[in-house]
Amino acid sequence: MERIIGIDLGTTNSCVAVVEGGTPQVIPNKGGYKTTPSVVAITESGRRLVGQMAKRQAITNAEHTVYASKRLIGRTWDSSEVRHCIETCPYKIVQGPHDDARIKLRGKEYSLPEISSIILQEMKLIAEEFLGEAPDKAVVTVPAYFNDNQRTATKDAGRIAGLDIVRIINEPTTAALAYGYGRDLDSTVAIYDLGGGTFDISILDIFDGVFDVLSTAGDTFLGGEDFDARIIEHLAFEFAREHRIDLRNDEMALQRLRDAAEKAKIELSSMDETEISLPFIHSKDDGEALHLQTTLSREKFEELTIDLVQRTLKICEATLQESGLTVDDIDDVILVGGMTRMPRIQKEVKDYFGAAPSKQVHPDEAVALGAAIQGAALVEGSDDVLLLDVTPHNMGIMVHGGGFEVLIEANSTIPTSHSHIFTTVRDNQTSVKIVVLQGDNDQAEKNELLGEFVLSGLRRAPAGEVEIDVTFEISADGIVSVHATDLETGKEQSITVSATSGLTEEEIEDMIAENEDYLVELKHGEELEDQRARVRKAIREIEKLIDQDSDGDEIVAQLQQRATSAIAEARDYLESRDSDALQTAGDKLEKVLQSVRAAVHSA
Amino acid sequence: MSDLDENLAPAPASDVDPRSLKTSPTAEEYFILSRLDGAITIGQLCKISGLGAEKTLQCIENLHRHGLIHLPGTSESPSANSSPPSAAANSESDASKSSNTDELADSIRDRFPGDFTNFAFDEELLEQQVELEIDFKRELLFVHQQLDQIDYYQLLGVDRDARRRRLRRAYFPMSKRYHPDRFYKKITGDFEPIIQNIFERVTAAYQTLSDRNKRAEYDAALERGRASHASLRGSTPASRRSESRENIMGDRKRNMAFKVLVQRGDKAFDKGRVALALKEYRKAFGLRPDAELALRVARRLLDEQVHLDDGISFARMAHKIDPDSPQAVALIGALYEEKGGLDDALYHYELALESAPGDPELTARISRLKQALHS
Ligand SMILES: Nc1ncnc2c1ncn2[C@@H]1O[C@H](COP(=O)(O)OP(=O)(O)OP(=O)(O)O)[C@@H](O)[C@H]1O
Ligand SMILES: [Mg+2]
Repeated sequence: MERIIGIDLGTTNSCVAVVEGGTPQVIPNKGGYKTTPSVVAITESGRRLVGQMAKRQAITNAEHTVYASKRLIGRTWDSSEVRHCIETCPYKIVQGPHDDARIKLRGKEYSLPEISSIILQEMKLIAEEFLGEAPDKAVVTVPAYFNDNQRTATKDAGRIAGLDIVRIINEPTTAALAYGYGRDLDSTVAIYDLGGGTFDISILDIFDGVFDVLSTAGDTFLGGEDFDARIIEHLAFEFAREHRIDLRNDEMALQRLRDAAEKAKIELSSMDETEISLPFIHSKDDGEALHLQTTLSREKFEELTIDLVQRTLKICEATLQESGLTVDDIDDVILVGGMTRMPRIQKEVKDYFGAAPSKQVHPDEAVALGAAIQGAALVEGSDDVLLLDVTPHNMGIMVHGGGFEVLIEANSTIPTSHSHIFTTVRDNQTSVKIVVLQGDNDQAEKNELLGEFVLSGLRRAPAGEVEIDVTFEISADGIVSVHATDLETGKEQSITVSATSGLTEEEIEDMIAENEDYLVELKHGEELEDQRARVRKAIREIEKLIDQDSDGDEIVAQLQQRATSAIAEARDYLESRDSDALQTAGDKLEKVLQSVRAAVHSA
Repeated sequence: MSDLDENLAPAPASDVDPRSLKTSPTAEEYFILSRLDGAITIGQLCKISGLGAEKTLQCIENLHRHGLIHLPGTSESPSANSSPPSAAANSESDASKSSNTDELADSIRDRFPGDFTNFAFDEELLEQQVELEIDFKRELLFVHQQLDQIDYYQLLGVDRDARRRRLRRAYFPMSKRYHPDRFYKKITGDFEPIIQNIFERVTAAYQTLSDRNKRAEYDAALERGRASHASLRGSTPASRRSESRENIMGDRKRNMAFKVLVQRGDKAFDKGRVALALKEYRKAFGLRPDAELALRVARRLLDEQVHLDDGISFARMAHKIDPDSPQAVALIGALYEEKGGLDDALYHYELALESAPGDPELTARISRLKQALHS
């Protein structure tokens, strides 16, 4: 049976879900947890670690452990986000060949889609163990405010992991699906999603199984990490005041601070005060050890972060306005994302919307559940659920003088298309360059570049005479394509906008191959381990038996001889990677073992 | 005998015209219909109708079957329960849903000026092998071809003073009907852009009418349009041009596919994988019967002396498209000659000479062939 799984690829945690027999459910990982940390590490021996395993070894392997990579995906090298991460992240960020950022781990440069692909691969594995077969299609969620480059990069990550991402949908929208699925609702809801890295707000109309997104907005650089950062700053500042040492320059110390900050933040959701104790956080040049020991109150924490909370409310305000509604039109507010467990956030949201937020959905699981619901709806072609999603940003082209002409407005329901007729601006102009952009600024250069192409061979004519039709189309799966047609000659040019995910087609194919190689290698390694174990076990047992005396028995002595040489031979292969030789050695040893057993028994 | 609940109070269906039915109701049925007001119950009716209980029940059943009355609590409001539908409940609600969608289909047809039964459907499109019901295919063509003939209010089937709630109730079922996601697993062929087009228009209607400013603008444009007897379509440039764009888009996709297939064919040919190449060319040809392509392929097969029979069939395709051109016929001749079919070659050369009298190359070939045949 065809199946489409749902994956919430989060900044801090990822989650996978599936609809089984009409019921959406989250699939727990091997450790029994329903979410898996979005952390990837490369060990000294070149092995990839993902999730809890990667997170656990982060302190001792900080430089080769990547977390929060979602903040970097689809960003250009000189973007402020990349700048910011270079300053604050313990792993090494280098410039990629396409003006993108790459992460250098154990001497190898990884693109961000590759890092994400490793997480997706893990989620795929979790689903495979549960379903008994490897899923090859998925609906993956991204923050509503992700732009097209970020979405394309996420899609590429899927390809590298061998997953066809049939839909990229917006996180708050899927949360709404989880909220409204199977309920007969007629209401307008707001989804407030504050996760580890991003804030999203969406307003939806739900009626008769249709989920219509009215407007959506957000900030892709505002989340739990920023709350942690405030605590880290605070602790580092106090420490510096006392000891004149900036702990943030010490990778190991910084990693410990980071862990302690998150832990404190979480504890303060249920307690008024928390103890922070980091012994031996730094050793001075003279060998003296320094410890960090302090308490943090909820009040202080709220004071340190209140501006972040207010920033989210400002965005809510703008979104409401955009949808032409007021807080009174909102029937229900739904909180999603781990950060919404912070009591102050719940209070501020309640005060703003004038009603207590709904507790209907699980803040960590709703997004993945909704993605699975959408996946199932696609496969079944069912009448129960229809999602009317929107495009979050204005899309358009650069016009004469560097202006930005919007062709598809933000919050348009997709699929959608729009066309506009442009004319030449110079006499005898024979070609026109179409620069496709996405963003909310009037000036072209301040927006995100999605792609560009040239329409040439226009008739020589006075300015303004030749007309060019430019049509934008966003398909139901969110793919943007642009066609330009010279209305005189019918000559046309078109692009599917996907060129700027940071990877070329060739690179992606190489990465797919490399990933497959890695998996084969990993599998081979596991096989070798099994074979080695078998050889070792046989050797142990034979040795146990032939150690017993031979009693001068001719046959036994001969057997001992044979066994010793077989063992010596097998030992030669034990360290090799020659699977055939190990197999033969194992077979041989087991035969010898049988003979030895027989001899011992008959003796 | 009858399982009608005596306590139900049937109501006449205002949206069905009895005259439109295939088998018209009997006078007795009409009489019963005229007694119904949604308040009187079946039990009461049996007592007062003067027809006797049995006959009365029979009439009610027939009226219901014709869709002339609504029985509260039967197929209406199927999803009133708020628990998630179980597998068993599902099939039940599916049945009632399908009657809902039939109602929707009828209602949508009524919004357009055309006569559905005598509509000039594009037969070729209707026959295209796709995974859509024939009635739905008809509906799509019917709606799509008339999109520009009605205004947004008519399209959504709402009054001029409809507010947000009413608009939503009108739009949501329509969005479900035409959203491309609903056809994700289906092969929809050339209906794909049609479905998307309808969805986009319905959505534009909803979004325009739900936004105060946009609606005011639209209403003003509508008034101007009425005054000048101009069209009543949407006011945006996109919708003004949507029809021609739709055509361009279909062609565009086809052209692109054609080019890709030809390129693939060329590549395969270059690598010596001729059979594969021919397959790609044939697919391309299926998309667009292009004489030039057929000639080029035939010529190349001749030059490289491989798959001559295929060469002949490609040259014939070219000939079919452009019967007056001597090139294709001459090429068929040359291919036969290469194969050793001298009679056939001669025949085709002579045929070609008829459309290109005095062509020295052809004349030379003919005399050479004649000599060879005589000796
Ligand atoms: N009890 C709690 N109190 C406060 N914060 C919490 C609590 N539990 C988790 N968090 C924070 O929530 C964040 C993770 O939330 P979540 O798992 O929803 O994010 P995500 O989905 O990975 O990120 P995003 O959606 O931004 O990509 C972390 O910053 C974590 O510290
Ligand atoms: Mg999240």
